[in-house]
Amino acid sequence: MHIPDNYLSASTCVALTIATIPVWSVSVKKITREFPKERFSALGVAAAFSFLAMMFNVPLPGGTTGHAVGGVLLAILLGPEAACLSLTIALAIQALLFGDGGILAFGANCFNIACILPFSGYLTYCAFRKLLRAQTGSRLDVFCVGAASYVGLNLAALAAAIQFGVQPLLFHTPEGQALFCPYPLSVSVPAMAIGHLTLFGLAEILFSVGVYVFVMRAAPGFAANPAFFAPEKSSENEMDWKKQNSSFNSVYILLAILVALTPLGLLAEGTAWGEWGEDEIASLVVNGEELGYVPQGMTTGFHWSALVPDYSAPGAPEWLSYVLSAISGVALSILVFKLATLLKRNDVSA
Amino acid sequence: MDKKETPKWLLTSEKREPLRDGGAFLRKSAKGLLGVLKSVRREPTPPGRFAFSPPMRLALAFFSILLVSASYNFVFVEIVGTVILVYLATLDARVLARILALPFEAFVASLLILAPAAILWDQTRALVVVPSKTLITTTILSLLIQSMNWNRLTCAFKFFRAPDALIFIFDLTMKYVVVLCEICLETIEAVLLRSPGWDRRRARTLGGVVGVIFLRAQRAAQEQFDAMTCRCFSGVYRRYWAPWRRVDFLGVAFLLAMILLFIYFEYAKRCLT
Repeated sequence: MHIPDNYLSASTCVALTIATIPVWSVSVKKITREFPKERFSALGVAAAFSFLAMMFNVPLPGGTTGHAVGGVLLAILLGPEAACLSLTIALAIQALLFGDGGILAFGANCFNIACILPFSGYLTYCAFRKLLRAQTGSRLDVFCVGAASYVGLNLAALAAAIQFGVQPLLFHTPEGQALFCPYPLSVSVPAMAIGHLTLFGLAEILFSVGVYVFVMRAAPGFAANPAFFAPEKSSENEMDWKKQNSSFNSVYILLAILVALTPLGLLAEGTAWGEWGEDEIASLVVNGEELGYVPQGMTTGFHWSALVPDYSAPGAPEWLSYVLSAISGVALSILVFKLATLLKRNDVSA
Repeated sequence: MDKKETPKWLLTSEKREPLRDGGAFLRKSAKGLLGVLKSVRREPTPPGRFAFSPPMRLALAFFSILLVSASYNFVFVEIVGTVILVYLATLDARVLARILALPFEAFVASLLILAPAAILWDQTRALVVVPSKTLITTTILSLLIQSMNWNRLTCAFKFFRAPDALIFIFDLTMKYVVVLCEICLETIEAVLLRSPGWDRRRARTLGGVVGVIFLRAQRAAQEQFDAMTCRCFSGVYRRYWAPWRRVDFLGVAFLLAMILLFIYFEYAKRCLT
């Protein structure tokens, strides 16, 4: 679902970035106003979770791969605005350091993954919860989490598919060759839907439900969305601090386990739909037809040289590079939100 | 009191915009000096239970900077960078900001220096590798400086048999930066306080301030010499034996692992393939 550079026209990228700015603005305002300073580290941990979820590639018959995002889970645990910011940071780290997702297409990726996914999933969760009258932590609640994460992921994938699909209609040469993504809506929507409605959706459900159940049992202090979770008692009580710290310790242990398991993501071979390189796209066969050309926008467009492209440093074993990328991604996510606490003024209680 | 009786001039807010004078330059200089004082007189982060001893920290910093700079293989740089990132992620936000301020400036400066090469000759890889190395090495240095006070650092230098003259110069420099900065600040404050009103040429007095500092520095050097003579200090530093901590074994293991990894990625791997 990470749209690379030169798959969308510059004007599409700008339009989607402009559409995302109000959501970022509202999220930043709400977080700085309502989120306590000491809880900012939870945002970093949330970004780290999402970063790791996106490293577990799931193979699909036919040679493409996909992954979970965990954005709806974050929206349920911390609130959709917090999830939006955490996902934005995770996407920025992926794009800048690992070349996963484009720099020009950063706004478009944020629009799909950091806006549509958490907000639509969160609304679905609220609706399901109300409909089923589910109590926090109950089986029905867990069902709601799974269903919402499935819906959120698929809506985000649909948005990405539409953005891909409108490119050949809007931007093409006089000869009819596409300038950017060459596949129309009739190809992009089913191609994206097949994966996300089946295996990738299942991966999202498993990841979200697994982490949600773990958090509810081992680290309830991590869940900070006041809409569903009772807030922690007064922080003056030493016991509460200890409980909160032990909650975070459990979450850090889970993060470490996920980091150690990331090489599993390498088992899936192939490239995700819509994330092919210039060397692959000309020989791609879709609906029995080979494309036969590299779209002009891809050859002459913007190319970003990432620090560790595709999570693999040249000269290193693939698994080592993947684990190193996972560790640095997690550490960077935590670091960014730790530094963000300096921007927030101290709360003065009356 | 009835509002009607309040004179009109008392209700309007007072707007006084003083004319620009030459004091801005002096005030900026004072601010800069305060910044220097703040960084030199900083409170080092208290060492934790698992902190390495100062000589171990110096050795680790020295070797990691050396190896990262000498490394052609980016995997080694990535490994060291990841370890540093994980360590930084465990620190408090204020300490983090203090540590990362200088490396960030160095990173931006190296990016700007290399930008023409990347734009004109398509050397985009250099634009990635060199600033990353700069960021990592300066962060290591910043971590070292922030983790201990200057005395501990000179002790660590002596542990590795650094020449006395070098330690002496380093020691005195750090002390006199503070002393002379304070004198300079006092003089600038005195100049600003004793020349009220509008004076366009106030910045010119900075030359006089520098002259005063020069004379005071000379006097301070003589006083330092006299004090050293009185204390029978001949410029020879005694070797400091830092207590060996159990955690230092981990430091040695870490150092060895780093050297082995460097050799593996730089030479052994090249020979094997």
